[in-house]
Amino acid sequence: MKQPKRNGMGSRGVTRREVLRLGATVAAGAAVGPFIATPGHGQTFNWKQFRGKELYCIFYKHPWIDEMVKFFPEFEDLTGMKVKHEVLPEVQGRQKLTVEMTAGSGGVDVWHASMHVEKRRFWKSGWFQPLNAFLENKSLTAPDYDWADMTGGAIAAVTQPDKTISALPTFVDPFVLFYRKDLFEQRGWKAPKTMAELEDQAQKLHNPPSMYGFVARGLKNANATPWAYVIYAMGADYLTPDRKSAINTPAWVKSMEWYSGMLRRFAPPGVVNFNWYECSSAFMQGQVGIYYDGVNFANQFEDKEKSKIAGKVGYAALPAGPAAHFAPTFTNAMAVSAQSRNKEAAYLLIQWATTKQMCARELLAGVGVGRVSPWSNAEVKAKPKMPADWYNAYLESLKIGRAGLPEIVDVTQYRDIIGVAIQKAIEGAKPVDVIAQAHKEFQEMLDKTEK
Amino acid sequence: MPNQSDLVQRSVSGGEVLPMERFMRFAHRNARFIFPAPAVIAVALIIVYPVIYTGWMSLQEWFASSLTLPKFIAFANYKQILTGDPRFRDAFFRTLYFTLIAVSAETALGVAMALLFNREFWGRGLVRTLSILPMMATPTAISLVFVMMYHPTLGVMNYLVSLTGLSPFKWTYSSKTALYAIALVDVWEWTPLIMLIALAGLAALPKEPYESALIDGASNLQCFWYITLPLLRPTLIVAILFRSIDALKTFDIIFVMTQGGPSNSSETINILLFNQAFSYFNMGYASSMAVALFAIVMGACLILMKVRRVG
Amino acid sequence: MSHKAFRQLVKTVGFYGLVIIFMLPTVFVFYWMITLSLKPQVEAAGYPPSFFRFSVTFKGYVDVFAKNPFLLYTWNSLVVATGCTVLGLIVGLPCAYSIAHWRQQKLALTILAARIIPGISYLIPWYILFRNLKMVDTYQALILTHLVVGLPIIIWVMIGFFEDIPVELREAALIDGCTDYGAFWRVAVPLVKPGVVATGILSFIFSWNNFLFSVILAGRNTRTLPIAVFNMIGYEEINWGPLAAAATLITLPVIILTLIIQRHIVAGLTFGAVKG
Repeated sequence: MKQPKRNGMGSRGVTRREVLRLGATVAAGAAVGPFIATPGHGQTFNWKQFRGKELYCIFYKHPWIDEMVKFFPEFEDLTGMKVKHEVLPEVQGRQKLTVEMTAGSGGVDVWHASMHVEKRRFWKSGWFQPLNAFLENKSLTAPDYDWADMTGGAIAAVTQPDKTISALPTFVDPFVLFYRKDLFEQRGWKAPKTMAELEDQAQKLHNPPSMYGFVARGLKNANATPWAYVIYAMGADYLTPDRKSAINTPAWVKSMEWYSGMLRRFAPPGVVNFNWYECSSAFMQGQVGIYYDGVNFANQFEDKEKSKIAGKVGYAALPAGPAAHFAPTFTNAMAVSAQSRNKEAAYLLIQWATTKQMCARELLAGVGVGRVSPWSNAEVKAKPKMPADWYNAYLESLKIGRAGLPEIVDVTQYRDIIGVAIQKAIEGAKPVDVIAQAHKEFQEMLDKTEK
Repeated sequence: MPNQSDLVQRSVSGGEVLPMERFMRFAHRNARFIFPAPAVIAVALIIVYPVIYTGWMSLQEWFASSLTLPKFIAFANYKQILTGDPRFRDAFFRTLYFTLIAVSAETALGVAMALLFNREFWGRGLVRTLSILPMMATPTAISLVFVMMYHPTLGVMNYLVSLTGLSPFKWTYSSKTALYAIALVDVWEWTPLIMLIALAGLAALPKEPYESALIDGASNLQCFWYITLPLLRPTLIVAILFRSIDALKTFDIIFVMTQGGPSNSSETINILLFNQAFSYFNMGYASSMAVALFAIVMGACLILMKVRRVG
Repeated sequence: MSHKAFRQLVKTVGFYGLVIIFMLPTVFVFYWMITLSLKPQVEAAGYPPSFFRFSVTFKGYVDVFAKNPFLLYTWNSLVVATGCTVLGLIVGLPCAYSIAHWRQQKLALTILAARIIPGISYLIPWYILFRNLKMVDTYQALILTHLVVGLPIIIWVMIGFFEDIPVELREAALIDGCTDYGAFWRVAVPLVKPGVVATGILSFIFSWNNFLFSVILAGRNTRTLPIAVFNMIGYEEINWGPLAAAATLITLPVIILTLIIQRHIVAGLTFGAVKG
C-alpha cells in the first residue's frame, strides 16, 4: 500500500499522533515549531487588563458563530470590553472584509477565518496578525488555555510555512459519509469500507426516478471539497515536492473517472450544478441513498421539521480508496487583523472563544471542535445532541483527517479550475482531456501566483 | 401681477442695481447652466474618485496585499484581456448574446402589456400594480426561489412541465440550457421596467393624431404602426437603453443561480470581474476588466442613441 | 343577443383573457413564494409540490422578526429610498428639462456614465472616501451613493418627456412673462406628470433593492432590508420559510406606494393648450 508523501510541514493533518493525543497524552507537538505549551507561573494574566476597549468583528454565517455570539455578554462581563459584530453570508462577508482590509482602515479587529480558503492568501497579503508572541506571553494567555489540547490537524491548519500561527482553530470540518440506514438494514448491508463497496451499493440502490443511488456536489468551486476525498483515496496529491502541479498523473485521471462516473450514473439529473443545498434537499426528501459532505449537515438531517428521513440516517467515515484512506478536513479559526488598533485586546477575544469551556459548549450544541478534551467531556457524553454513530464518524474522520485543499495562495482559482473540469467530465467530456487542460491552467496559475 | 422681468426692467431704468437683482439677472441669463448644475455636481463628486482609482489601478499589478505595493505595468492588463484571455473573450460574446435575447423579449412583452393596460378597465389599478411586482422583489430572493423551482427532480417547474406531457428540462442544471434559463428569470423580472416606461409614454401621447386618423378611416393596427410606435419610439429607446445597460452588467441572478457555470456556460464579464477582484484578489486585472466593460456598455449606448436620433 | 353585443362580449372576454395570460407568470411565482413562506421546511422542498394543501405555519414570519431588527431595517430602507428619490427628482427634473431644451447631449452622457460604471468598481474607492470623511454607517452616504443609480434613469426618461412638450407652449409662457424657471415649474412639470410618477417609482425600487452598496457602506444602524433576506442563508442550510417571508414582507411597502401613485400615470394631461 503506497504511503502518502508528506509535503512539508503543516500541509496535512497528522494521523498517528492524533491517536496518541486522543489517548489524552500530551504530545510535544514537534509539528508546531518552536512554541511549547507550558503552564503559567504565577497569576500575571488578567482578563480585565483591556477593560473599556471596543472590538469590531466580521463573521460569516456559521453554526460556530451562532452558538458563540450567545455568550458574548459573558465575555463582556468577564473583560469589561465591548464587542460589536456583524454576521453576513460567507460571500458577502468575505467581500466586505476584503474591502475593509484593502482600504487599510483598521476598522476590523477580529474575523472568523476559513483557513481552507484564506490561509495563504491572507498571510501573503499581511492581514493575519501572527499570534506566536501572544501565545507565549504569560500575561496575555490564560494559564489553563492549553494550546497542546488542540488537535494536530487543527494546529497544522493554522500554522504557516514560516511557523507563524495565524489564528486559533475553532471548527474542524471533516467530510463524512451519510447513508440511508433503513435501506441498508433492509438489505443487510453495513456502511461501505471501500470505494468499490460504495460504488456497488450505490448501483444496487439506484432505481430512478424514485431513488437515486448517490449524490455529491457538482457545482464548480463547491465541488472541489468533496473532490479532495477522491484524489487522496487514489493516492494523488496536488503538488510535487518542488511545488509544481502534480495533476497530470494517472491517479488524477482515475479520480475523475470515478467521481464523474458516479455522478453521471447514479446521481439525480442536473447534478452538474448541485451545490450543497440541492444535494442535501434531495437527500432529505428521501430521493437519494448515499451522500457525502461536511459533517455538520447532520444537524438538519435529524430535524423532523426539515427532513423526511430524520432518524433514518447512518453516519460513517468515508471508505478507503485503492491507494489510501483519508478524510478531507477544512478548518476555521479566529483571527486577529494585523491592521487592528487593539491587537492584544482582540487576542483576548479569540482566546476566550477557543477555551476548553467554549469548545465544550459548541460540542453540546452539535458543532465539532478542534480540541481534544471536549470530546470526552462528561456533559457532552451525557446528553449528546446527535446520534452516537455521528460522533464516531467524526472522531474516526479526524483520525484519518488531512487538509483537503492545497496550501497555495490562490486556492479559489484552483477550485474554479478543477471545478470546471469536473463539470465538463460530468457532462460527458473525456477525463483524460479535462485533466490535461486543468493541469495546464493550474501550472500557469502557480507560475503567476506562487512567486 | 409683477414678475421677474418687471423687476429687472424697473431696476435698469431706475437707479443702482441691487445685489438681489444682479443675482436674478445672472440666474436668468445662465439658466441653462444653473438648471443642470446640482445634478452634474452631485454625480461628478460621487464618481470622480472611483473613476480615477479604477483607471489608476488598471495600470497596476496588485493582489490586495498590505505588504507589497501596486506595481506599475502600464497597459499589460489590457493587452492580456484583448489578446491573451480566452475566458474573457467567451464572456464577452456571451454577455452580448444574453443581453440581446433578454432585452428583445422584454421589449416585445413590455410594449404588448403596456398597450393592453393603457385603457380604462375594471381592476386597472390592481393589475398595473401587480404587474410591476417582479421588479420589486429582492433579486437575490427571487433567484433563490427560482433555483429551487428549477430543481430537476424536486422543482415545481418540471412538475408543471410534466403536467403538459413533455419530458423534464434541465433549466440551470446543464451547460446547454443554463444561459436561457437565467434569461427567462431576467425577462420575468425586468419586463415590468419596459412596461412601466412605455405605459407612461403612452399616457403622454397627444390625442390629435388619433382623432385625425380615425376620421380618415385608419384601422387600429394602422394607428399603432404609423402613429403610436413612431411617437413612442424615443421613450422606448431610453427604456431599452437602460435595460441593456443593466443586462450587460447582470450579476445577482447569475451569481446566485449558477455562479457562472456549469462549465462557465453562463459566465458574463461582470461575473468574471467579480471573481478576479474578490476571489483571486487580482485587483489590477479586475480594474482593467471594469474599464473594458465600461467601454463596451458605453459603446452600446452610443449606438442606441444614434438610433434614437434618427427619424 | 344582438350581433353587436355579442362581438362586444367576445372582445371583453378576449381582453380579460389576455390580461390573465400576461399576469399568470407574475402571479404564479409570487404565489409560490408566499406559500414557501407559510410551509414548514420539510415541505418547502417537497415533491410533488403542494399548491393548495399544505400545513400552514407562521414560523417563517416569526423567525424573520426574531432574527432581524426588521422595523429598523424597514425604517432605514424607507429613509434612504425616499431621500434619494426626492433628492433625485428635485435635482434631476431641472437637469432633464435643461438637456431637453438646450440640447446638452454631453451632459446627458456624463450622467449616464455613472450608471454604466460597474458597481464593483465603486466599492473600494467609496469605502476609502467615506471612511476618511467618517461617513460610514450614515444615511447621507447611502443616499448619495443610491443617487448614482437613480439619477441617470430619472434624468434620461424625463428628457424624453420634456422633449415631447411642443416648443410653442414654452414660447407662449415666456411671452406671457414667465422666466425659464417659471416656464419650467408652471408649464413643463405639470405636463410630464406620468413620467415623474414612473421615474419616481423606478428610483424608489432600485434604491429599495440595492444590496451591494449597503453591505459595504452601511453599518448596524443604517442597514437596509435586503440584508434580512441574506441573513436567512446559512452556512449549511437555506431557511426557506423565513427567506420567503422576508422577501414577501420587503415587497409590501413598495406595493402600497405603487398602488397609491400609479393612478397618476394617465392620459389626458396634454396638449389641448396648444390650439388655444
